Amino acid sequence: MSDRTEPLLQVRKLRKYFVQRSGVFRQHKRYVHAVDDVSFDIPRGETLGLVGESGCGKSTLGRTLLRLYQPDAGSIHFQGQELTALSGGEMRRMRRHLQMVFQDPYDSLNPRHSVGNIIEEPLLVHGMGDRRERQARVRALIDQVGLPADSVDRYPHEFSGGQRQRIGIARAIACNPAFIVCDEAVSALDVSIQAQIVNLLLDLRQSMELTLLFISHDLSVVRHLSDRVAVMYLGQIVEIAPAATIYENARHPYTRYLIAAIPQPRVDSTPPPAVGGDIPSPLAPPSGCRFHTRCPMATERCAHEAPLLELITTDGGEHRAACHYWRETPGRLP
Amino acid sequence: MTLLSIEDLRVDLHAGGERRPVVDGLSLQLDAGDTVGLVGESGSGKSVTALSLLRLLPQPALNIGGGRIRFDGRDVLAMNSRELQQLRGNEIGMIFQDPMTALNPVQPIGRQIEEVMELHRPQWTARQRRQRTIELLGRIGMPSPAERLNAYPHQFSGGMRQRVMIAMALACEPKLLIADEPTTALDVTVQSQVLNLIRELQQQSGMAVLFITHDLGVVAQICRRVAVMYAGRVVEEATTAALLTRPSHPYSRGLLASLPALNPSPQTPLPAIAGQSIAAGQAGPGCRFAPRCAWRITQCEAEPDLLTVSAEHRAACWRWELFHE
Repeated sequence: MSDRTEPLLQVRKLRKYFVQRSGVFRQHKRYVHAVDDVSFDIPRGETLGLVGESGCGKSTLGRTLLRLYQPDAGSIHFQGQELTALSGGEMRRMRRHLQMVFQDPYDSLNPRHSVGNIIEEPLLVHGMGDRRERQARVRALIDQVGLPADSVDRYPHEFSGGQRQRIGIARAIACNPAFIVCDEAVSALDVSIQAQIVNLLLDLRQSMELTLLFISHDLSVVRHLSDRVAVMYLGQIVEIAPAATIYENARHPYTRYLIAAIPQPRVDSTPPPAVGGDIPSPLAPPSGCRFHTRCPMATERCAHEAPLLELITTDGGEHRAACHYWRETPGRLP
Repeated sequence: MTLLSIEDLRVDLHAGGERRPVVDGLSLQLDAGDTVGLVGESGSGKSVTALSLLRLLPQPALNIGGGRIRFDGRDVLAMNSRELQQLRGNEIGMIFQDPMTALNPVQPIGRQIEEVMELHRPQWTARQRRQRTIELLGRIGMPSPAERLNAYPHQFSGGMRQRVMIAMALACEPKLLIADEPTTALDVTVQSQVLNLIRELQQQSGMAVLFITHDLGVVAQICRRVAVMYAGRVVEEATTAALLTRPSHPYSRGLLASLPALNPSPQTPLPAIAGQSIAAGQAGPGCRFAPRCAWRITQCEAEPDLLTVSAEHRAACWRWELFHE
């Protein structure tokens, strides 16, 4: 196995395109650039927040990491193994170490299975323990995620949204995974319930030494949970830095805009002056810097030359941004 | 001047031969030109309240079981269908969370906006209606509006569709705009564009706005006053500033405290409200928040009315003074 200093997960130039066919004979092909040359590391025990607006590719990235989608190019290095080189069977066995919690606890639980069966299933699939041991493990998990002890024989429809999300979390942690992708795991929940699930994740992360990729469009929740944050726009990471840096000293205009747009529950809070326009289609991303069509700082250069994810500093953690003008951003944007 | 007053409204859900309240004893006043937020979690009854105001409840499942609704001096619950038609879209405009389901997918947007005026402004010529439609689309920020009149809803983004809905709701210059979670399905950057637009239009036209949302951040940006709902009832009402700085009901306090945005130290547990939300029909006797409340005492076995905290600030809690010491 790998030593402690090596990142748990190393992603290099990962690419996932989806084909969209049109025409009478479906002969015209166009490609949705869902994930386009994305590279990053997640050190062991870290929570990386992944934010962006709908269609930016954040969920596709999460699913491609677990090979729920097959990557088109690039590498995913996990605990010393290259995931993209594994066969289907090897990948299935590998999945006990990589798990996922989904957004919608209504859709991701089989309504005909009891909660006990749902949580036991990953243990069965991976051949862990005998019947008695598995049942003891299910009871322990139910307790660990804060569900009532009598949940074992009940069915998903008997539970509220927050409790169903607890069931999904219990299933994800059943095999003691090292890495969990949380895809909008608290987004569908009411505020008071959301806080309970955030607290559960904080608690499990510590007690189980979990490494998390926390995908969300809610920047306030991401800030609360993450050590580092990556911002995606149209299939690419445009900025990645320690959480405090992203929220206080972002250098990419899109990041600054995204953060200014969060409605703050404070007296005299006002919506920020809007940067116009909508998100361009990922079928035909703009040339050069993909944000240049909406960027107040854009110049001729931005339309032609795609910026690299440049290193800004390593002080207090690595900070990278993909903007030609990151040096000027703080003076020119609010 | 009071534009809208709801008194002791009760809405019942009829299901399986049973009758359960989903809104239970709700009272709310809205002055002309004021902006009021109605805040609550799912199942609290906020959308049902909005639909009741226009008598748009899906019947026979949901029925108004009691109370009074007065709009501009008239009794809404006593109106016949002609009077109601006069009210909807003319004096009260409404926008919803999902513009795709509210717009007709097979009709050009220009036509849909003109239709509202055909109904309520029959004295206008076709030319005047077209003129007004172009003007409205310009005001909501649609580029080259005259050329987009014949476009269909699916040709627009979610944010632009919501703007078209707003244009339609404002076509007849209503006195009240009811906005039911209009930005919840939008991305945060598009949300801020739409919120800016609603603010601007409200300030220009002086119409009143009832803004229904679960997001206290959105309330802070749009509303002068706010009412917090829990299990079918208003439990606190105040100016937005007072609610944010001096929340006086344990539920409002709990909601604010649990927001990550207001939590200064990341990676620490959020002060969550214990237990699960309930619907109005599940409430036992006494204060409906009591089962989740850390300040519960025996007095809470009797349900408190809204008690006066200060001018424009009322809370349905026997112990509100506790929070101001």
